[in-house]
Parts: sequence; C-alpha cells; structure tokens
Amino acid sequence: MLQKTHFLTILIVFSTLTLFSQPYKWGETFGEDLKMTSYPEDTSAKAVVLQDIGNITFDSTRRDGKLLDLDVVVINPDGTKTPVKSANIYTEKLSKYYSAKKVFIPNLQKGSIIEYRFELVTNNFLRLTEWNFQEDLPVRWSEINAHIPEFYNYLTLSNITFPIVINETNRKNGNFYYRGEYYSTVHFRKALKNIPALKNEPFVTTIDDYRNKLEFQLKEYTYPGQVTIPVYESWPKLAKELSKDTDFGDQYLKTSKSKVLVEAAANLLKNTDLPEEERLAKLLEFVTTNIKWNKETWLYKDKGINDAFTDHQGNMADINLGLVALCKAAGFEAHPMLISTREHGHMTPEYPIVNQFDAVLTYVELKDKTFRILDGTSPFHGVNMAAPEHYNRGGWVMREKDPIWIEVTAPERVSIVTGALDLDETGNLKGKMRLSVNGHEALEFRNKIANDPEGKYMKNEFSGKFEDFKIDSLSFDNVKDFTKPLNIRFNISIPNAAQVANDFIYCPAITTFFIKENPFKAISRFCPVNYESTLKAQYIVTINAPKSYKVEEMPAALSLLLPNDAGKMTFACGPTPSGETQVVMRLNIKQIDYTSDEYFSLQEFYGKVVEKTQDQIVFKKL
Amino acid sequence: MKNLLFASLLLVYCPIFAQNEWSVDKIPAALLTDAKAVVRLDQNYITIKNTGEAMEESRYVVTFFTQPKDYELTIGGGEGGFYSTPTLIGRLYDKTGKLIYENEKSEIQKFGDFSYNSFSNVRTKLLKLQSQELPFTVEFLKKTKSDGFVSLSDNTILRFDRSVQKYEMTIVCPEDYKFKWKSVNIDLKPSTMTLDKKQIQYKWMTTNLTVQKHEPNHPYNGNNYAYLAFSQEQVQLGKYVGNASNWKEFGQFVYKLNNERDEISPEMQAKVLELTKGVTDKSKKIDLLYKFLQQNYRYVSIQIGVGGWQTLEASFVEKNKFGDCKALSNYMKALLKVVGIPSYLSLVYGGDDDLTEIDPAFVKMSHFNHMILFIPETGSWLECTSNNNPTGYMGNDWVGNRQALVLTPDGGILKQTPAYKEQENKKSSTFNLTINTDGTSNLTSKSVRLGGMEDYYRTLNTEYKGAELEKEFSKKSALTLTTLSNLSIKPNAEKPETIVTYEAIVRNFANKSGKRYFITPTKVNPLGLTLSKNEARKLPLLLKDAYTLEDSISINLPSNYKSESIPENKKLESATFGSYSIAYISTENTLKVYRKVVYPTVSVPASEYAKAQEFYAEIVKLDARQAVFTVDGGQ
Repeated sequence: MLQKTHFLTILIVFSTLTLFSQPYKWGETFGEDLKMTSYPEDTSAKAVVLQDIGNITFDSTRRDGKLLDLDVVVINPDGTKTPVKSANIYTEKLSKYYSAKKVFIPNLQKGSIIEYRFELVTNNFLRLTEWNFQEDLPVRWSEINAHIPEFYNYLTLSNITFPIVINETNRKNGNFYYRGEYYSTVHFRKALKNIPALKNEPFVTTIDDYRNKLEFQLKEYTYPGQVTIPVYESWPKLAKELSKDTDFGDQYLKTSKSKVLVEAAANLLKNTDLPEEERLAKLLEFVTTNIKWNKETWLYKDKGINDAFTDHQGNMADINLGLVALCKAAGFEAHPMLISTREHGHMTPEYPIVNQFDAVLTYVELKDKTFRILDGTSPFHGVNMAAPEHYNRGGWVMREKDPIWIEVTAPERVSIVTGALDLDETGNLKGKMRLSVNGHEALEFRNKIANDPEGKYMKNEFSGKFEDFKIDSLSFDNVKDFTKPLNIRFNISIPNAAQVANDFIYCPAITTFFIKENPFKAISRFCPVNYESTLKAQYIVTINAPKSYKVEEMPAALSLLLPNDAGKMTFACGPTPSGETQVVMRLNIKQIDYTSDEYFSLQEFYGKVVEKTQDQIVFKKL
Repeated sequence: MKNLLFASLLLVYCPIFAQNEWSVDKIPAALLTDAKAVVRLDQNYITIKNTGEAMEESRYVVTFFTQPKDYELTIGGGEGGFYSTPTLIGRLYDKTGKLIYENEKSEIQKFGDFSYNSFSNVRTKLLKLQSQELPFTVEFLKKTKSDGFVSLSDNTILRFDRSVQKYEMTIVCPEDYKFKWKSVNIDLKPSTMTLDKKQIQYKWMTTNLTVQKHEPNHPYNGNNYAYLAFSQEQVQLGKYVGNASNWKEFGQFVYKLNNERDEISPEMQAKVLELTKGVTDKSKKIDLLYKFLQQNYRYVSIQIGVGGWQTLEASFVEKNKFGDCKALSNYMKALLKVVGIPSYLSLVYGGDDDLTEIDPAFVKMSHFNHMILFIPETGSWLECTSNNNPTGYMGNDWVGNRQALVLTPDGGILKQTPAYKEQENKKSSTFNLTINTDGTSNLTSKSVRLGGMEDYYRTLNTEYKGAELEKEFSKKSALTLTTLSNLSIKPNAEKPETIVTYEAIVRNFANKSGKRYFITPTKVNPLGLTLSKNEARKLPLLLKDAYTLEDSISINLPSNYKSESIPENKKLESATFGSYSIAYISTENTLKVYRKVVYPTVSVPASEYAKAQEFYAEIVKLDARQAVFTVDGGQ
C-alpha cells in the first residue's frame, strides 16, 4: 500500500567545509566531501550524516512487506567504490515484531563515505513512520518528501526547533492510479540543514522529547464517491470509543469483568463511615496484596481483572482498571487516567489520538472535588503516589462523557536528617541520627526495607559511605503507614571524622547524609532541565565538643536563592542554649522546569551548596 | 540405546507427582546459614556417543532467599555451529513447593548475536523468569546436543553464597572413550559402573554442602568455588580429529587446523617489501608491519569456521580489511612471512575476570577464548586486534602475565606472556595549584603514565575528540574542573607511555571557611584501594593490580595566609603490601607535597587479611590529612 524509499549517506571522519548546494543523487561523485577528515561544524563528531532523504509514496498494488532492496556502497577517499555484497548483509530477528539488517562494511578507512538506500513497504498508513531530522551524529541535510493521495488528510505532528530551509506543499494532478482512475496527490517537502547531534543528558523526561522530528497522523479519509471517514475527531468521541473497548472500558464498566475481585473485597466496600482517604488506602492495599504487577506497562488488559485476581498477577491495566472498578463499587467517582510514561515521551492534548498513551492510572474524585491518584503497580505507593516514571506532567482522565486533561505533579521528595553527635578529643564523632523521608525518597527506602526488613544491607550501605563508619541499632518507623514520613533511626560512629592538630580540632560541619556532589557537572547544556518533583532536604545536627575545647571559628551563615524564587538554600551554624554547636542546612527546590539557559544558575547554585557542605568548625583547646 | 532411555527419564520426572518436593521446609537448617540461595538439586547427565557427538541434560533447582539478579533467573542456549538446545524449560514454585508457573515454548526468545561488531551464525535462545515473593524456587531443565564437537567444560559444584542440597554429575561414554577429571577445592571421586553395549558410567555425587561466603578480592575465578574439571583425550572439530591428551598434541591439532591459510596476493607481498625496504633490523620490520596492520585493518568478532577454531584465509582479510582475532593474527603472520620472519599463532585467555592458571598436565580446551601471535626470533608477542597498542604491548588485564599455548609445527608449547610489575604500571604527576581569594584554584598538571596506568587514556584519545574528549576527561577527574584548557593526551607510538597535560580552574580543591583555608593536598589524586574489615576472613587475599604513584603537588596561597597546621611527614613500608611515603614542605604561603605509593601484587592467605586491611586503611587515613592556613594576623 505504502512505499517509502530512504536514501542516506554517512561520512566517517572528516575535514574542510564545502559550501552546500544541492543534495547528492544516488551514485553521484562526492567531490570535496571525500577529502573531509573532520566536520567543521562539530569537530568532536566521529562521523557526520551528509544527507538523509526520505520519500513516502502510496501504491495500491504493493503488499505489506519488509525492508527491501538494500544497497550499500562504500566510497573511499581515493574515489574507489565498493558495493557491499549481499553475502555481507544479514537479517537478524530482534523480537516478535522487529528484525534488523546488519551490514559488514568491507575496506573501511578514515574518510570513507557509506552510501545506502532501501525501501520499506508497510500497510500501516494511520501513522507514517516518524522522520527524525536529528540523530546521534550531526546531520548536514535532512529531508522528507511525502506524496499523499488526495483522499487522505494527514495531520503533521512535529517538534522542530532548528530553521526549516525548505517547506513546500504542491498539488500534482493525475499522478496516482487507483482502481482504474487517476487522482491527484499533495507533495509535502520539508528540509533542515546543519542539525547538531542529539546527546543524552540527565534530568530530562526523555531525550526523545527534544529530538527534531516529524510524524504524519491520518485524520480522515474520503475514498472516491464515498463519505468522509474520520479517524479521530475529539476527546469525547475517543472516550466514547474507549469506554466500549473490550480490552479497556468493558473491564471496569461491565460488572461481570471485575466480579471476582469486587466480591472478594465485599467486606471493604461496607466501611462507609471511615474517612474517604482511609477507605481508598484499604482498597489499594487489597489490590496490591492480591495482584502482583508483572512489570508490563500498558493501558489495555492482559488477563483481565478477574483472572489477574485469581492468578495473583497482572499487567498495569489489569491492576489499575481493577482499582477503578473496585473504587466505583465502593461508591467513589473513579476513572482511568491515561498517561504517557516519561520514557514514552510527552503528550499532545491538541490531538485526540490514543497512541500517545502507554500507561493507565486510577483517578478518584473525593466529595470535596479534590482528586487522588492511585497506582497499584507497587504495594508501597499509598494513596496519591504513582511510580516516578508515571509523572509526565499529567494525564487524560477518561470520564466517559466529558473527559478532561489534568496536571499532576509528583509528591515532594523530602529528606530530613536530624542528629546529636559527640565529638571526642581524638576527632571521633559518635551519636544518634534520624533520617526522615517522604515522597519517592520514602518509596525507594520502603522498597529496600521490603527485601531487608532488619536493615542488614542498609546498615552496610550506610557504613560503606566511609571507611570505618559504624552504624548500629538501625530501626524504622511508619514502614507500612504511607500517610506519614518514613523514619530511619540509628546510632552512628565516625572515627577520625575531625582532624586534631596542635591545639585545634577541625570538625566538618556536615559529615554525611546530605548532598555531597553537584548533579549538574556538564559544562554545557542543550535540553531544558526537568525534575521529577520538587525537593526538600534538611540537615539539623548538633555537635557536642569536649569540655576542654571552645569554638574558635564557626562557618559563616549563608542564604542563596535561585532566580524567580525557584529554589533556596540556607546554612547557619551557632551555639545552642546548652553549649553545643548546631548546624542547620536547608535546601529547597520549588520549581521543576528550567530552560537550558537557567541551567547555569542551577549549576552555580549547587556548586555553592556543595562548597558550603565542606565548611569546618574550628575548636581550640582552652 | 539404554543411555538415551536413561537420559530421558530425567526429564520425564514430573513435578505434579511430588507436590511439595521443593517446599522451603525441606531444606536442612545447616544449609540456611548465610545462604542467599540454596541449590536444591543440581543434576547433570552427559551421554557421550563418540568424540564428536554428545547430549547433555541438566536439571537445576534453586530456592532464593534474597532477591535474585536477572541473570540468576535466566537460562540460555545456543543454536547453530555444533550445538542445538532442543529443551529449555523454566518453572517457578512458591515457598510451599506449589508449581506456579511453567513457560510455554513461545516464551523462549530467540535472536542472533546482534552486538556492535560481530559476525556470527550462532543464534541464542533465552528464557527469563519473573521474580516472585521470597522465598521462591526456580527449576531449569535444559538439553543440549553437540554434533561435530564435544567439549567437557568445568562444572561448578559450589558457588559463593549458595549452599547445595544435592549435586550429581553423570557421564556415560563408550568404554574406549578416554578422559581425565579432577575436583578443585573439594574432594570428590566418581563411582563407576559398566552398562550395556560397552558403556561406562561415571557418577560424582555429594550432598549438603554449606555456604562458602563470598569475600571480595579472592583468587577464585568467577564465582566458582568448587568445581569438576575434565580433559578429553580425543578432540574432534567437524571432520578434523586429533589428540588432546597433552598440550603438545592439542597444540599440534589446532596448528594443523589453521595451517596454510596465509596466502596473500603478489601485490600485497610487493607492498610489504616496499614498506620494509632498506630496513635490516628485525624488530623494526615487525614494528612497521604491525603499525601497517593497526592502521588499515579492524576487528570484527567472527563465530564461523569450524566452530570458531579455524581462521579465515588471509586473502579474506586482505580483501575486506577486517577480521577476528584469529584472522588478524593469521594475516599478520602472512605479512611477516613475506619478510622472512616466522611466527606462530598462539591460544590465550583474553580478559581478567575468569582467568585461571593453566595446569601443564591437564588439557582444558575451554580455557582459551582468544588468539595472539608469537615471534620466536625476537621473543615478542603481538595482539593483532588492537588499533592503538604500542608494538608488543599485552597489558596485565588483557593477555599479559599468563600462559599462552604457542602453536608450532612440532606441537603446542606453553609460554608465559610478558608481565608488567609495579614499576612498569606507573603514574608520575606534577600538580601546580594557585589558590585564588574566591576559593577557586588555578591548576596546571602533567602526568607521565606507563603501562596499566595509561591504556585508558590511550583509548580515550582514540575514541573522542575536541569538546567530547574534554567532557570525558573532566568526568574522570577527581576534581571539579570549571574550565579546562590546553588538554593534551600524547600516547607514545613506541612504548606504553602516555603524557597527559592540562590546565584548569578547579572548584573544590581548597575550602575557604571564614579566615581559614582547609586543604587536603592529595585530593588531586585520591587513593582507591581500601579493604573492608572482616575479622572472620576465610578466603585468601589476591590484589592483582600492581602499580606505583608518584606525585609532586605544589600549592600557592594568597600572600597574607600562613600555615596553622601542616600534617607530619610519614612513611609506611611493608615487604608484602607495598609502601607509602608523604612529605610536606611549607614555606610562608606555599606548600609542597611529595608522595610515593607502591602497590605490588599481593597474594596472601586469609590469616594475613587483617594486616593488609589495616595497612591500607592506615594509608588512606594518612593520605586524607588536611593542611590549615589562616589569614595572617586574624580577620
């Protein structure tokens, strides 16, 4: 049905710039480009894509197929051309759905150009293959051409941040043959040039969100003499369709599909006098203890709610749609919330297309009209927490009649360290500490505790931070009560934490359990920065020096703000009424999105924070 | 065919008839101590038909008490070459021993080896199971057929952190089939029995082995603590049959397999002569031709050609400009032949992780995974898959410091490859730091890196350029570099030496706090070696890496600062564990620090562990001392 040809040349290791005029044709000689040993636009590049050109055409006579007619030619700097023999091209099956062509390139040298073309035939014309203008290598010229018969109306979804050098739409009459007649086509042509390589960076939703690319999504089609058939229309229409889908809507809307689960939870459904949140917590607990997540993230059912309950195992939809059904049975206003995981990329509320989602959560509206999110893929979430990868700015709540988009942010990540330490004359610190964590920080610890209820491994992990560091009497509070912060209490002993020299003891103000490294180390930044959630970290510890010593110098107080009140750090050190020295450091990140320009403020801010954690208190012998 | 009937009995064994056989309650208490997992049954049954045909069946049942890693829940098999894996079954049981899962055939993933540079006709089958609520039990059943090549590889009896309830190894073979065996770190002897049709059965069995706890830095390869090893008298590879009763014979067999595959074109022969024209020194000729190979040919992993034992013809490499370790070594051999320098292909184990000592009296075909070239006239070796090694350099953690089997027309000869000692793996650095009033420091640094201390940088220099190189270099730095300039990484083409120089502004070197500067001078190059405390160490200690660090650090402070506290000079020396010395010279507002640390290879019994631990802990403690400077005359 649909035919795409792909024409691509890559150059391995380069040199001088030639003024770019027109893309090369297949088999044309490369002239000056063959002398290139480095790509002037990016001298760190190991190779450059000279050009990447795609053509999409429709052909009603072709059958769905594979990658065909792959030609690969290697052109060496001396101009010799070596076509790759078909014996050196292998097909490797990667999975049930995908296979790959593997090419062994003979006679490769520095400066060689690899030129290849192929054809891909597919009958999936709802969504034409994504065109990536941007690659892991720099691209000198990238161009997509689509010749679309007049019956199809495609919407283009694009993420293009670099200048478009060619952007044309032309109509051609009578060049598409279909059932004995000729019809016209529309030719779209888009080209970009000098597109830098896309490099992965930390603190992004997914790097793919920042790639320059384009997609064609079928909106509607009108075959000759027939009425227009919409592929999608509006969110309410999509909601209506999904609510009738046997793998989705039926699951929680048809009582028979969730009967086994709902009946087993009959006792829980009666406790109507409990506060709403407590009831939700019990329903969530019932589902997570009875159905273990099989690690499959998907919005359509696998086994279905009843079988997942009986087998104690199911995919995300089996679990979270089961939760919707159970909450509804308990009298709550509950709906599925469709989301795209961070890795799957951003969502576009402008277009009512279901394939932008890859996951489903449970949305519950309380009597006061506030909502709670439930995610039964882990037994440690509690009410209003989903797994970190499920926070991608929000989601689509599929109320059957009037679906809505809502914004959801992850709960604040909190880590508060408190403690009282005694310093002795040889520089050892010893005392009690407590780590109080909330949000996903607590989730991570609860996951660890599940496999390590006595904290044996955690003890080692904490001790491993420093040589000779000793942790004992480790205990936990609120392991199972998700409404409260998780507390980890322990005794700690740090030999030689402080340095003793002459009459002085130099004691670090902050020994551990606080940020010690700048998370933004890279000297440059391409993508905006995105935190999964806001952050709060505090360190409040008193140090009790030997009686024979007095404070000679204390680190100065410091307060730092990120621009626009996006974050704040304060540090203070001072005597307590009982004569100890108290160190208080607070770090708060209140804004989760930063532009790539704001990156440098973040980097500087963290640099100062880390520097401040290295301050020392000087004690002098009386 | 009694043996086959016998073998299939093993697989027909159906879990449904023994509901609770794998219940956790049935594990003897002694096996639970320290066990992350308990091997309930490890049953292996090998039927050897002849030198080239065999069938191996195994049943492995393990109960996990701590969350297993993915690989512990995965079983794989090969398909293609001389092997096939007709059976691959995985089952899961809960703690009561109830069967909760058995895979369908369709759940086995099949794929080719799709790594970045490999060329293979072997397909892999993989079966991955899901983790369950602890404790739970996994059972794997596997059947492998070999046709054309039989290699009896080591069979692990006891892995670290896993106790074993029952272990069985059975080999059934024709009575004239000769093989040797030995048990390592365990004393195990087989019972023998004569079966019908002139078959002999050997059976090794043991039960209730308690946990051998894993302790880092031990000399045992992989996690195999106790194992059975085998040595076959006859070797067959497809249509080739040979003797493997000793290294000499085995070497001869592999020699013949690879002999006379080194023809190159007259044009290439002419090119080789031209390249070496006027050069009389043999070492120089070798060097020229090795560099020619490095610059023009690349490595691709190739798994074809008599099960990976026979090299591709030299003409293939000449034409395609790539080859695997065998093909490239063989091609190098062909180039040397043109200038009249004979050389021998040599089998070796490449890598560090699973390296074992070779027993001169016990041939283990599975010992090797790599090929290099030996040149008898100069006594030198060439690693032909490297595009950037200096000529003759082997590297301790790759193919140096071990025995290789040199394949000569007269048979195999075991020969030691070059070892690099602490004085050859050395880094000598100078750091000049000027501390600015804002707490940042300007740094200029030069290091001369030798041997094992240089190859990372040599590779870095090949793999990255420009801004990317600077980024990678900054990541590796112990200091926070806010700017980096004049970075130069110069690998020496002739010897394993790389000189690295750079300038930088450094952020976290000196900590300014009030009227003081706190400076830990050795922060420029912190020491990595620490051993965790272990009063009950059971395993011997092995620290393979031998190296030397020499640092000269010079620090200039703003002129109004003077020292308040400077650490004392210290020297620590041990004949076994190495030495550490550090000297501080402070004048006015400057501090000069000289440090030398020598880490030799350490191989001592467990009883010496505590001494080693204390020695290295003391070094780290001495090294972490800080110097304190204050503003002259207070604030």
